[in-house]
Amino acid sequence: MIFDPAVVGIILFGGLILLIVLRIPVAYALALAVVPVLLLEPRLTPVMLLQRMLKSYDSFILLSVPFFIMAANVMNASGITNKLIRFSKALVGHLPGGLAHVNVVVSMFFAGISGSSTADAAGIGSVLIPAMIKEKYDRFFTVAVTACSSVMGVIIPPSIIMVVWGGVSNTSVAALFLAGFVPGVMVALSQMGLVHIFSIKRKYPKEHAMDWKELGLSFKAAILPGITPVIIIGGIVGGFVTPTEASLLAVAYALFLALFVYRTIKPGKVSSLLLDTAKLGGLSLFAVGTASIYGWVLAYYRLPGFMVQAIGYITNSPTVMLFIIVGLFLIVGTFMDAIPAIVIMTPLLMPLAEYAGIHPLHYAISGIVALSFGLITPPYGLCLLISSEIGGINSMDAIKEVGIFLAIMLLVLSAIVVFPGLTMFLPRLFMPEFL
Amino acid sequence: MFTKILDVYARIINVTIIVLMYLLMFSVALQIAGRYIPFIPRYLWAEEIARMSLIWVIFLGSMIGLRERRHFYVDFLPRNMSPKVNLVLDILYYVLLFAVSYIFLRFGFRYWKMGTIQQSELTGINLGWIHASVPFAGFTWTIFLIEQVARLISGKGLPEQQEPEEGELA
Repeated sequence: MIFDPAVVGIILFGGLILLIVLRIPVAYALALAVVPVLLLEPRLTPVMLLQRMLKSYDSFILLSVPFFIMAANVMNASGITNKLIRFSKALVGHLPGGLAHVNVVVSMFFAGISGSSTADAAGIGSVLIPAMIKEKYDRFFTVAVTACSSVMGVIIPPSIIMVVWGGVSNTSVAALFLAGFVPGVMVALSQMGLVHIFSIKRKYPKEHAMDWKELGLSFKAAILPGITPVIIIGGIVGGFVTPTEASLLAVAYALFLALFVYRTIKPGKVSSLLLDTAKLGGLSLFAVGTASIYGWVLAYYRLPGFMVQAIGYITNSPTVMLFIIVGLFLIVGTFMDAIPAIVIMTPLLMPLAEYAGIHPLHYAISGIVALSFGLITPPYGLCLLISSEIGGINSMDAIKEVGIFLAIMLLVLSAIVVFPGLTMFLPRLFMPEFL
Repeated sequence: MFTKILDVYARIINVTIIVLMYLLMFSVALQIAGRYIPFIPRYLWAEEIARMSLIWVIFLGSMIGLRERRHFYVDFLPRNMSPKVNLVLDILYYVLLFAVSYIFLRFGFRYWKMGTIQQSELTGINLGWIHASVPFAGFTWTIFLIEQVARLISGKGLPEQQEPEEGELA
């Protein structure tokens, strides 16, 4: 039996949305959504799809997902995060709204070491949210700034979702890492600008006067974890290690610091950190598997080609096309986690990007930034949920403040879409041979 | 009694996960070492072990995740619906998840059978060892789901669906 791609699309998308609304976990909903097609199409067998699922795990690059999560877990458990907070305090604590600036700046540093935004929200939030509330910052603003700054975790390299993107679309992960740097810093600067306006208006306090001695001391304390990005990014871009190997180095280095230098965790704790890591990593990679089943069925019915036909006639301007693509990523990101969304959407929209002549790196970073915003938008914004829980509020209460941050972040995203140079600059500089 | 047996079962899974994580780190470390340290050969099996551990970690993680109700879901519907609507939703939830488990168990079994007569190209390891993760997942999900339904019917209630926690996902 041969279907029209449009009919298959409606069955698959409609089914998935229905299942998600019914509170079926997304990973299972993805597997269930293909069942109607399986029943109608004798040429597709369940065994084929299971084979597809295991095949998606056959990629060396995916191994880095648990390792990057482990590195972040070790950082949070060992108090490395606190050292970064202390240094950030010395750096920007003297500004009005000092702690809010610290929140943004430390997220930027944290992002350079960890590849995970939720670890950022949880690790930094558990320290800074109570501290900010104690100093009479509004609860909603506090939650908003913690959640919104944590999205840098996946924009600034290393990044778990860039690894998945690279694995799915055969884009160089090293180039993606380099490309994410400038957009990530732009997000940080735009947020600091906004924090400044809020702080003047609401008269948020300074932490202390600028103290050069403390700056020096805290820098010294933070320098050992601070060179992690140099190891990871330098190692990958310099061609010494693959991203997977770099992620293992990051774990080894964080463990070395935690066990032998700072001695803040006991060797016995490593196993329980590994178990936590495996549970979380396992859950997200399980969704990668079912998402690749779903994506493969979409591809089987040539839906990507159909998308080009359906959307391609609207425009062939790369900028307009990229805005359309980014819009789709933003919508999907609100109700689905970034990782399954990448597995499904990246191959689906890739032909559109190629058709319009958008560079794969530009396409990737725009998509990744758009998906990262999904981390702070309800109903499924993990970073917002985590921060709200720490702040003791309902996640919908902070929606106004989050909305203001989101507006300014959307401006940054638009700049990224309109000016390809922002993403392409560093990769062109450091690895022109890959482009 | 039933719950106690399952607690032990889950603990065995947890311990296996930890062992596999060490194995994963070890085998990737060995691959790096093999490239840079002259006297360490480049073992092909290291790559195979890494892949196999990863696949098993993923499936075992999904099993524990189902028992602890940690799989990510989306809250579109309001929480304060009538008990009747919630009951219908609960029944649908279990019917659908039993269906997935059944598919993984039944067709995973067939897939495992296929695997047992194949060898990996790299090291000649029997693919059945890898493919077995699929029906095993279907089987374990089923018993964990039965546990939850039994708890619901006996009025013991479920562990709350877990909010996302530290380190969860990207």
